[in-house]
Amino acid sequence: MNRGLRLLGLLVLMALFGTAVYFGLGHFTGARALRKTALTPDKTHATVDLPGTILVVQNGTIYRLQGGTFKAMTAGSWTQPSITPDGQHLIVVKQELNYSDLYELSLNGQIERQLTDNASGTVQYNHWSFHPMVSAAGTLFYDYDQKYFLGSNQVDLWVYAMPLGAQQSRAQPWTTPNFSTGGDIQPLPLRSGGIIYSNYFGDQTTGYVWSQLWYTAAAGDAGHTLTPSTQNCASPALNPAQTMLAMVCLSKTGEQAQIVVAPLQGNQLGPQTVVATGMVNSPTWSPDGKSLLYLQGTGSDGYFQLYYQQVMAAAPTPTPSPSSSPRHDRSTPTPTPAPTPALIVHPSPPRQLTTDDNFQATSAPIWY
Amino acid sequence: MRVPKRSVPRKRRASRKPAPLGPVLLILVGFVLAGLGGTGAYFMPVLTAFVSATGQNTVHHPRPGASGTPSQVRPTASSVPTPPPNASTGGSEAFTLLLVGSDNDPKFDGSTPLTQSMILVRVEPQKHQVIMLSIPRDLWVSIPGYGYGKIDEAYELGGSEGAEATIEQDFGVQVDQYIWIGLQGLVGVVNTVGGVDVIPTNPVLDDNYPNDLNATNAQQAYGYQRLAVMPGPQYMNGVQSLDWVRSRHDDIVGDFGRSFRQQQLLVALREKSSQLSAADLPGLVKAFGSEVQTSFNVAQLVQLLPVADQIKNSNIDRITLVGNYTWNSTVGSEDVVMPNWDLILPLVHTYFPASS
Repeated sequence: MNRGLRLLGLLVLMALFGTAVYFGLGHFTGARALRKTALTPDKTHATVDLPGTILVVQNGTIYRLQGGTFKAMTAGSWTQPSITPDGQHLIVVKQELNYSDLYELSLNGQIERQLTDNASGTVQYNHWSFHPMVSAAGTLFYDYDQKYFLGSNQVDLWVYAMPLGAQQSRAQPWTTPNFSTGGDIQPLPLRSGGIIYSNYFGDQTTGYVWSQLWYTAAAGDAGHTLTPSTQNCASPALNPAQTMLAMVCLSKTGEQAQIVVAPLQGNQLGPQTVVATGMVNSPTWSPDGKSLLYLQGTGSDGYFQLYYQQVMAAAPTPTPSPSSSPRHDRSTPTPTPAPTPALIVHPSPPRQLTTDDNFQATSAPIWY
Repeated sequence: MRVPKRSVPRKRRASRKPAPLGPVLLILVGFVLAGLGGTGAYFMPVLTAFVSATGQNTVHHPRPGASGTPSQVRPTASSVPTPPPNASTGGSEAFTLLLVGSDNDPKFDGSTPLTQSMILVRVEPQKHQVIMLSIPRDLWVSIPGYGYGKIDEAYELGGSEGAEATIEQDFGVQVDQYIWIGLQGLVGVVNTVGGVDVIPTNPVLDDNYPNDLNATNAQQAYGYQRLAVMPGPQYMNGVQSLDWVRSRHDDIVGDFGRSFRQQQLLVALREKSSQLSAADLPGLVKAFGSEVQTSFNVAQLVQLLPVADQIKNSNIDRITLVGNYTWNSTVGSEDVVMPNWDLILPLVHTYFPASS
């Protein structure tokens, strides 16, 4: 009897071992590691506690990052939030299958009003609106697919503008895109009243579609380019003082990206500095204009995580030469406020803020 | 009575019975068999699926016109069938692969639909190099046995053999292996490797994108939707990847734009597949379903996995036949792409060995 039981136990153990091998093979393979499920941000923490508030988007939900902790603000199909110049409202894209609309939200994520109405029951009658930004003067700039004619396969994005909160019928195109390239996108309003935007154009000889940053002073103005045609730059982001520009420039074959910063001098860009390389996208400046937040594809899963990088540092103070200093100055020194040290581009190594999320890389974070 | 000191241990040793070797061995063998059984059960889907999906014959067709002028040929007995090429693939020998993709949604009732994508790939394992040549789907060529037509019809008319024969005849390149992949197959492959990181270089907008991926009948498959893919580095899952590389309307460089995107996706897939091992094959096979057919056999695929890891992106050359290599034209009411063979053939033979 005992012997029979022992034999049965052994057989059960063998069967269990075989089953364990079966499931073990399925569990510890590379593909499974690659398919790691991303966590929702509210189950993760940032590795660095940055000052202020940061908004990021994952899977249609806007998350607020404060004190190193994420909290879901509003769920749905939200993307590409921006903040109004007074810092009191969010302008956000709500993207559905065939259309997208702009909404004004409170800082807590409550819908305050719908700004565009792009939905239609007929597929081709729908419209897209993306990349909303409000200027200091209260003009809402965004991308919009103006129809060439119904039934056409041609669809491109144009930069449109209208007073914030006005009827959409008052919206006017600011740019005319190159046909069948994707168009003009990502308007960035300047205090001068002009905008910087990304323009796409095709090169039939090489088969490549390039992107280039443009400046235009007014609606319909021809404007001028800010970056060379072959540098393939887009996704501009300005620091709060509007003196430094960050952008994403792609390699010709679209396998690598760089975040490049350059001073904005008048309506021209100054010398460029590469601050990050890899699968980097959607840079955003910190409120003090010294650092960048951006999203980068990293790890074997390929999900995009939040990165932080200090890119500006105080310029070294010039040491006064002994010969120029007065030797016998007995006058009482007048107290003067210490001058704000000038900032120069001085990138520090980037720091990865998250490891287990899957942020939408084409939706730039907000930092206020 | 005095007992000698060492007698006790001796007595104990003498009382211990030697462990019976037979039962121990039997138990060990039992566990090994159980482990093998588990391994066998795990790999069973690979074995069964590969029987139907892999190891299919590749037939080499002699190239009739060496001058580069395509000619009309019907398949004849003179076509030289060769056995599945063991030597021409493997882990170290260079080979040429024809990669074709089809819209195999319910709109098409045939078993071999049109090919929407045709990419000739030269893999040089020893040089750690890959060359990809995208062939425009509307390229006007001679299809062996059927006369002139768009090259996307070659697979529809003659299956994989017809597609290979067309390439071999018109491009003068010997095709060693082929892979055909359907819509759901591509989705499954990308999802199985956990998605890909890609860099769309421009917004991809399409107002007439087919909404047919989950259609179960032809009527549903005629639906369409709008598509908007934003530019810049981003993560894509299977469906998003398919949408991005399948969209074909409103591209300034026409079908070449789509070819460019397809090549980008292949490079991204290579990056991910370099982290796979043989143990991942069951998952891949499950993802493929009946949506992948290939002439590779299991052993060749296993040998190729480490090759993918050795080839870096910088060693992948990507070619599209834009510019002077082709021009747009019409034949009857059809929009076609006409080949400039005088330029195409020298270019192709720079990278792909000419067929004998």
